[in-house]
Formats: sequence, structure tokens, C-alpha cells
Amino acid sequence: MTKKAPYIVPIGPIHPALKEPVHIELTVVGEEVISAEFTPGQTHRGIEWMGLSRNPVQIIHLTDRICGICGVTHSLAFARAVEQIADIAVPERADYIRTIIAEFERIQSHLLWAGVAAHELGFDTLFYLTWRVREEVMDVIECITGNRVSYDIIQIGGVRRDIAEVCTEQIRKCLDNYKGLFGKLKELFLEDTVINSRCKGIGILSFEDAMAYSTVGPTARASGCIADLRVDYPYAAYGDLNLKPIVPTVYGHDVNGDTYDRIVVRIFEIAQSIEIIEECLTNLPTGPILWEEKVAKILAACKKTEGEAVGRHEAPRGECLHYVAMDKADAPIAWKVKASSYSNLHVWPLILKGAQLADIPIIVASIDPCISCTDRVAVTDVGAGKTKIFTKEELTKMSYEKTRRMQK
Amino acid sequence: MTDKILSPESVTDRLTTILGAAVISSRIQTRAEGKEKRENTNIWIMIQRDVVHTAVEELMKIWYPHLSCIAGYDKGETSPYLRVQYIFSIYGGVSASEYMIIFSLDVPKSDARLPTITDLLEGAEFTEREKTEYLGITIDGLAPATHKFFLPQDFPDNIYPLRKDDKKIPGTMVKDLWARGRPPTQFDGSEE
Repeated sequence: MTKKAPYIVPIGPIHPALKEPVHIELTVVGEEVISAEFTPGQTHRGIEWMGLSRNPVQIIHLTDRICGICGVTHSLAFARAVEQIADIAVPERADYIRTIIAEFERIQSHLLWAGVAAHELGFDTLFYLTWRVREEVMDVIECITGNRVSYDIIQIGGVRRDIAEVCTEQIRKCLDNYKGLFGKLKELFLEDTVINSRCKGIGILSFEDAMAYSTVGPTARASGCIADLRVDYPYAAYGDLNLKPIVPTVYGHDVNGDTYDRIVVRIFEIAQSIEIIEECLTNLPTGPILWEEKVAKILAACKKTEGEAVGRHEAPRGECLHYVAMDKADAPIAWKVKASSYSNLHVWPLILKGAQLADIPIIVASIDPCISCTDRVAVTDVGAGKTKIFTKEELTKMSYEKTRRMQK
Repeated sequence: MTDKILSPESVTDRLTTILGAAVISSRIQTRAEGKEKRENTNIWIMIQRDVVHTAVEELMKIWYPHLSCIAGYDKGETSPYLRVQYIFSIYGGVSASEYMIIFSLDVPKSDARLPTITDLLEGAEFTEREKTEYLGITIDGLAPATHKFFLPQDFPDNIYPLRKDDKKIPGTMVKDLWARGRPPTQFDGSEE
């Protein structure tokens, strides 16, 4: 059988970059990707369907389990939607605690991503180092919420735990340490010659495409879309802060919309989150943390209400939106979860086009995809109709070899 | 597209005037949080199904919108309608000025069709396909999908997870699975 280009190479259902199932099919000529197609939905869990037979307080705990990294994103967006329908006023202190925990989540999520990106490039030392640094923020999150993942801190009408005095001390110590480490983080990720040559000009998403595909978060901002909900659409304590969206120009260079720019945005957002937490801690109002402490009363208020609302939150990966409709019943009549990656996954075919096979792991990872939030990549070498399934390990090995070649 | 930031009232007026009798109702909802209680605005406009493409076109003349997603639900087992929301936002990137604009419309189950808006916003395809998979709404103008995006590839046809009528998920798909075992699959993984 003669082999003629192009070929179709399927990757998956194991993700080439992350330990989550998604299927991507790439049409390649030699090493170059001509086109890409993706199939998520490999682990559809039917969470929205489950929600339609549960009450809002039960759903809050379900939302905490949509994603392992976004432990507060979904619950915050859902709670904000229900609070608007039932006209529940959230105490100011709860708004500030929500903001603090959301920013800690951004720090841990961006550090997790930075570690994964280093791993995809073959810098496992940097991967271990980043994740070691991340442990400190995980400890703080555990101190505040009692959990490392699935924080379960949000409740309809406020938060379930207050920030104790002992936590404040640990938070300040963690933030001071991170401020000292920021220079090092910047140097390791942004000044390294190999990271520069492997990420600059790779996986480009143009401003026009970023807009037409309604992308969100660091993926959009790296392409020059300055949208950031925390700035544009005041909610929780963000309206009290003077924030500016982080775009690649923050590092003193032009916007290219490539993988490198996405690293720049995320690294600088860590520094921004540290500042936000400090400001919120200083201005933390006193008072109650819940609109109503008795769950039965919260449920009674939700059961009496009817109407529809959307709750939004700027998650580490971008806009997360929950649409909820209630109609004087225990369970909502409609619940739609729009995770951040929902708006970003569909640019894979655009940014993978023209890429080299060995660059696929880092490009796929560069949008920080969260499959558990949304829900496989196949590389097809076109011609001869032959399909070879690459495992995640094989692709990562190709990526490592490319880095080693460049280091020589 | 104008560069001037219009007030929520002017945006609502402009859209309801242009769409005329096709507008069923409209309301502006605001929410204020934090110490300073700065407001954010959501504009809800209920429209007839036929004008959805025009509505999006008119919205694009005001500002290049961000499409969060198209949401939808089944109004009930006995209801002949599905409710669909086109969730947009405008003025993103302008500090404290972003409005959500949500077009709601009823789609009859007997003729569950919607026109595609991918000619206006290329990225709408992903969320439009979701409406086909979850609610069984055919999107006119969109080429048939080669595979499923949101559901497993072996998910049965003519069953839609978010429907509440006879096309809903049957009890046999979710109850006593330990006794039933895995369903037979057509997915054989065509490896070489």
C-alpha cells in the first residue's frame, strides 16, 4: 500500500496535553498540520440534567463538582443567578470573601497551568518547581475553606465560612512569599531561550478570530481583546477595585496572539491577583457573611420565586455563565452551564492549522482547556487513508525531543 | 457600528423600534454588589422566532457583540414549545459599561428549527450544534455534523437529554445500570 500525503492522525480519546478525555483529528502532510477537528463530549456526565431534579442549595454542591480546578467559579456564577431571581442581597463581607477566594483560585489555576505547560515542553524541573510553589496557595485555600479542591464555600446569599484571624496571617505570609518569587517566575518562563523559540509565533489566534469566535479570558486577552468581566461588568467586590485588564503589552512587546503571549498574560495575572487579595483584605467589611443562615429559609425563598437570570464570573480561564430559570418549585425549570473552555475549545482547529506535530501538546495546552467543564484530538495523515493513533506519551515524547534538539 | 456608548434604555429602544411588532416584551434588570454598589445591566428582550437573525444583525450595528452561548430548555412535558435564549453582551472591554443582551424566543416542538447566525458570527456554530444535540432543534443553513460534539458518539438518535416530553432520557438509561450492563455500541474504533 503506497503512502501518500496528507495523512489523518487521530489523538485521543486521551488528551495530548492534559489528563482529560477529548478526541482531536489532525490532517497532516509530513510534520505539518493542514486541518484539525475535535470531538469533546467523551465523558458527558449530564450534570445539567441532574440539576433539574434538585433544589438550588443541592445544586450549589453539584456545581462545586463540575470541575476540579474551578472550585468556586461555577458555584459563584450559579449563586449569583439564583440571588438575582429571588432578589437576595448578599452581605458586603461575603462579596469580599467571594472575591478573595476567587483570586486565590486564579493563582492556583495559573500556576497549575504553568507547570503543565513546562511539562509539555519537556522542562520537568520547572514543572516540579511550579507545582511546589503552588502548594503554598493550596494550603491557604485549605485554611480558608477546609478543602484543597471542591471548596464548597459558596452558599445562596453569601459564603459558608468566614476568614478566621489565623487565616489572615497565613494569607499575608503566602502573598509576601509569592511577591518575592514573581521575578523568578517571570525570568524562568518568559526569558528562557528555548521557551521563547518554542512558543513565539506558534499557535497564533488573530484578534479577528478571537472576536468572531467569542473567546474569553487569557486566550482572548493574549490576542488583544481587552475584555475582562472583573473590569467591564462589576460584581462581587470587583466594582470597588480599580483594575485594568492584563494584555501582552504589559511585558513591553506587541500583541501577537501566540502561545508565548498566553504565558505572559497568565504570569502577570498572578501578580494582579496578589494585589487584589491584599486590597480586599485591607478593606474587608465587618458584618454577616450570609443573607440567611437557615438553609430551610433559603430554600423557602427560592421556592416562592419565579423568573430567569444569568450569573457570570471571570474564572481563571475566562467568562463562566450560568443561566437559571425558576418557576415556583423546588427545582429550577432550566439550568445552563456555560464554562469558560466552552468558548475557547472551538479555536483549536484555527490555532493548530500550520503547526508542527511536535508543537501540538503546547498549543492545545495554551488555551488552558478544561474538558471536565465542557465535557478527544485525532491526527490524520491524509492520503492512503491510513490512520495511526498517537498516544499522549508518544506526542509528549516528540515534544521533548524537539526541545532537546533546540538545546543542542 | 457606533463608537458612542449608549444607555441601556437607548439600546432597548433602538432594538425594540427596529424589530417592531416582533417584540413581545422587554425589561432591563440591574444588580449592584460590593461596597460601592456599582450596577451591572442585563437587557431581556422576548421576540418572535422569525426575527432572530435580524435581531442579531441589528445588535451588530450597535457594537460587535460577544456571544456567551445559546441556552435553551423544554417548557414542560405538555407544553408545545421550547424556549431558547441568545445570550450576548456588548461594550466588553469598556470599563464598567458591559451590558448583557438576551433575546428569548419560543420554538414550537412540532417545527423545531432555527436559522444559523454563523454568517454573522462564525463562532456560533459550536453552541448551535449543542442545541441540536440537547434539544433536537434543527439549525437551518448549517451543514450536518460529521460527529457529535457534546454527547458520546454512541448516544442514541432521537433522544435529547434536555427534553421533558416523549423524546426525553428514558428511565432505562439511568436506572439499575448495574443490572443492565453497558449498552451495545456501534463505535468499533477503526484502527488501521
